[in-house]
Amino acid sequence: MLFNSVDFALFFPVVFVLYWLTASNKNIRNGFLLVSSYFFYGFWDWRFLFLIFISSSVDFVVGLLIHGTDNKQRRRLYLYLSLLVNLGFLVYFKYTNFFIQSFVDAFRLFGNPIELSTLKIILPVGISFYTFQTLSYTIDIYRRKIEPTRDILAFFTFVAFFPQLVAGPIERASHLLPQFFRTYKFNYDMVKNGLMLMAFGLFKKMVIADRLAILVNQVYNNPSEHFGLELVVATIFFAFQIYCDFSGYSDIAIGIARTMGFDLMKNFDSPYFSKSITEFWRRWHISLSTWFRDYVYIPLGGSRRGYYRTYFNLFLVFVVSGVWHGAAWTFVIWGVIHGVIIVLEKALKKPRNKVFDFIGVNRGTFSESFFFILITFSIVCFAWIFFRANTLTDALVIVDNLWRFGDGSSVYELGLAPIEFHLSLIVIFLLVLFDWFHNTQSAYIWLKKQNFVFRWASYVIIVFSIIIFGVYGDLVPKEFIYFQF
Amino acid sequence: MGIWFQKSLSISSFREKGKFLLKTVILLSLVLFFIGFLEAWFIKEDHNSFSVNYSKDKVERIDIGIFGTSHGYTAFDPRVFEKNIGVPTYNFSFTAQRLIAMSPFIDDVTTKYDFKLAVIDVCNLSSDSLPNPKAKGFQYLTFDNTRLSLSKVGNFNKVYGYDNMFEVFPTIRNHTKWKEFLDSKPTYTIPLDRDFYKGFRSYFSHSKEAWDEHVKKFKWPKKKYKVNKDGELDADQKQKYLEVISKLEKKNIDILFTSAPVYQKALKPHYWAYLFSVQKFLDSLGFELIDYNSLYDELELKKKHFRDPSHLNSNGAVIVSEHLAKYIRNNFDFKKPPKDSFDKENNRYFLIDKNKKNALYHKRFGKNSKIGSLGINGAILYKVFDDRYELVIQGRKRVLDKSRFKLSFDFPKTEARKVVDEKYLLEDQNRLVYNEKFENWIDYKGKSFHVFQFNAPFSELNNFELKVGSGNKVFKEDTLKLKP
Repeated sequence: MLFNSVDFALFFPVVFVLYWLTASNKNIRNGFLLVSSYFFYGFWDWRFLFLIFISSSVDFVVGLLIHGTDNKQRRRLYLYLSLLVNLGFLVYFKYTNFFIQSFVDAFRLFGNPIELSTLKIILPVGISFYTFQTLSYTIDIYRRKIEPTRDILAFFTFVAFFPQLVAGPIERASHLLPQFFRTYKFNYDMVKNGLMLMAFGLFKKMVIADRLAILVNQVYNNPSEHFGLELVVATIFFAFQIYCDFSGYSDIAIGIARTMGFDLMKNFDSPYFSKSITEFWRRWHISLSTWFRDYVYIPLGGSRRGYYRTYFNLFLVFVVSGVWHGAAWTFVIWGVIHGVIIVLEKALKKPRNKVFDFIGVNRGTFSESFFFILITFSIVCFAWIFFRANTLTDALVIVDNLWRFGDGSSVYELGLAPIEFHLSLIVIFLLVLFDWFHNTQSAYIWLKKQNFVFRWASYVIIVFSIIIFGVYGDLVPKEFIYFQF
Repeated sequence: MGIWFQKSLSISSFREKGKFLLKTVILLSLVLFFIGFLEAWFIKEDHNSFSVNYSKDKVERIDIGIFGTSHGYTAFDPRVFEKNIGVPTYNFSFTAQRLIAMSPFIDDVTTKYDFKLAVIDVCNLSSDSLPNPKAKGFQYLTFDNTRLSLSKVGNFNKVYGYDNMFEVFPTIRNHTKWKEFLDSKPTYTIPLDRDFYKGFRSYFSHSKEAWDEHVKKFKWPKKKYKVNKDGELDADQKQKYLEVISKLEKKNIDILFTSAPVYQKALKPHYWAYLFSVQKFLDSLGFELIDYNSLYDELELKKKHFRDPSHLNSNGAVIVSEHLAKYIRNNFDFKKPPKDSFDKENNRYFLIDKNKKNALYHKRFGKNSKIGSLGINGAILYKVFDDRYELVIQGRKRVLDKSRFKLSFDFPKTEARKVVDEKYLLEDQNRLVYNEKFENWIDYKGKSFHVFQFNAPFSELNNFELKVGSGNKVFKEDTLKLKP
């Protein structure tokens, strides 16, 4: 079920009302949330509910088993069982065909073509997200950071919690699971805050992301026909499309959870105001980057084993992150670009500071910040080419054509009518302005301080902007990009 | 800092829930209000919406309401009903309207008007299950002009599915038309070749182009609209009839079913089979169906009475309307309404029959006069609706058929911005000149009348002049006051 669908518009109010009717009893409430979450997921394809059920069951039992023994080998064995089941599902459903195809391509490259057909495997929605979430539970128990729960209902609900089930934020058990042990009382401010976040998320998705997608799809689906400015515009549009698409989803997810009293972790923090790629990853998909930090980077030794090992660890994390995003070489290259830049930033930090001091660059000034924001954004956009391109060949064509200015057609001929194109620029500008403003103070608190008329006008305007300027209709709501991961 | 602040989770009270509920209701009401407020912008403007808005704005009382499809609004002319029965009548038919869309619309209009009789005109498509997107698309015309109600939402969902339930609001369905806000949206006016009167909106004449186009567009399927082999409507079809009947019966409104005629050669067996099934079903319920396809020969309908194979023109509509009006007068009781319940000075047939004095301008020409010898016996000018005027010329069709006429007038210079018929405007002058053929003939009570309409949103017309043939002046009036 998509958040921007009629199905969800009917589902959510019913769940919201029934939730608050059952909220005073923890078990009934959790039971209701579990049924609702399974319904939410099963609405897409009920057959894959068994994957969530098996993951939940295995990790619930494994958690108790790990905690119940002090035998290191047994503990490790149980952890491997959890990793095997969860990563087994993930690898099978997500990467089998990628491996087969890569194997075939490798043989062809070396002049020995072989016949091997790929399998007909449907990628279960959200498998990358809930697998990582439930893995964090067993790993944290193994590390003795948390204790397992004996409340099977709370645990199953934690794994399947519908607001963040299919595209995150990827929660840690230490943060989200205890919230299922509490009972909540209706808090007007929380609910209002949640609803506003949902509206803001829908605005980002339906008004900005889906509008920009029209132009982006037109260009990226026919890369050889576009050059210079068209590719620059399409790539910048994609940067904002994916930001609005994914952060919009996260806003809605956090908003929904908040209307029910739950607190989900922040997933985006104005990432395009980052002054380095390192900072970008502290602001972009925070729940994933911290997951990789906690469960991949640190176990690899983090920064404790010398410069070169640190660089290797960082690089590896970003390659893995690329692979996590999708079973294609384009995502691997995307991860490699980020990995390389982050390693360079780390390695060149001291020399760079020395150079800046030597030539007398004033640190922290607007011009310095602006310059680095621009550089970072350009690098991020360049990497997005590989992320968005349909194939590696397409990505290379785009990179090649990117520099050929003067060969292309008008940006007004890329699927968006001039008025729609101008509206796109306006909403991007408003988004940047909002992010800048939001960097300095909470928009919610600011709005709360305004007078009644202004506040209500704002609510009506945001709802109306979605209704009038949103890209929807044609019977099918537009899917969120991160669903495919 | 961020939007992501979290307050204590323990604050709560019944008051909090009440406050939330109240504010949610207020916000939703505000949003719904604005959706409704903007609706006019997002509804497709055409003759259907024009007709409904006309009834809302201008018509106070209706005793007979006619419902149906384009067959209905081209066949039943309220002028004839008002003249022959003496009660205000309105034709609420919509293009390709099915019973499923008609039902909530009937709810809507019967809430406003106290009908005595509803004439439901059906065709072979009336109760079908809307198999294709085009047929579904046509139902928006009716739904969009029906006020929001549970019945409307229910039937809308039956047609379009609950996935599209929010599309019941034109503002939501047509939201991409926001761009049109930036341009000035022209107001729809009924074209000059269309004969509008209280929802009736046929074309004046037979048209070869329209005929050929229609034949090309609607290739009659051999057996598209099935009834079962026993000649019975299926349960779903019956239900649609029953829904409409029950709504009207609840309000004590008499019901009469009709089926407007289509050109005889276009009437295929499946059409007959459908009408036969409907007749059988309605008979079993005790309702009358007047099938004008069966009366085709009796009414002496011919190709010239049709605009295209499916639709009568104004000339054909008079014949069918006269017949139906007579039937209603003989079979239903109507108390005489107050004299001012409808305007006789806007009704063509009132005026040409015996009330010429109610016209804005009228003149008779003796047979032996110069004008009479040209084939013209008289002329009447009257206001049809809004700024639409009609010049009716009584004359000899055979003589005038080959001639042209030229109607021209000056309008006050200060009112130049009001001109609607721009293509007839003389360059750099405040004069409109209509140079036309005699092709809109209506046969009424054994006489022939040629009708011609024009838009005159002015306070007066100066040098109002009609010439026929090679400059023969029929009349000239220095000044005609149009608005008080």
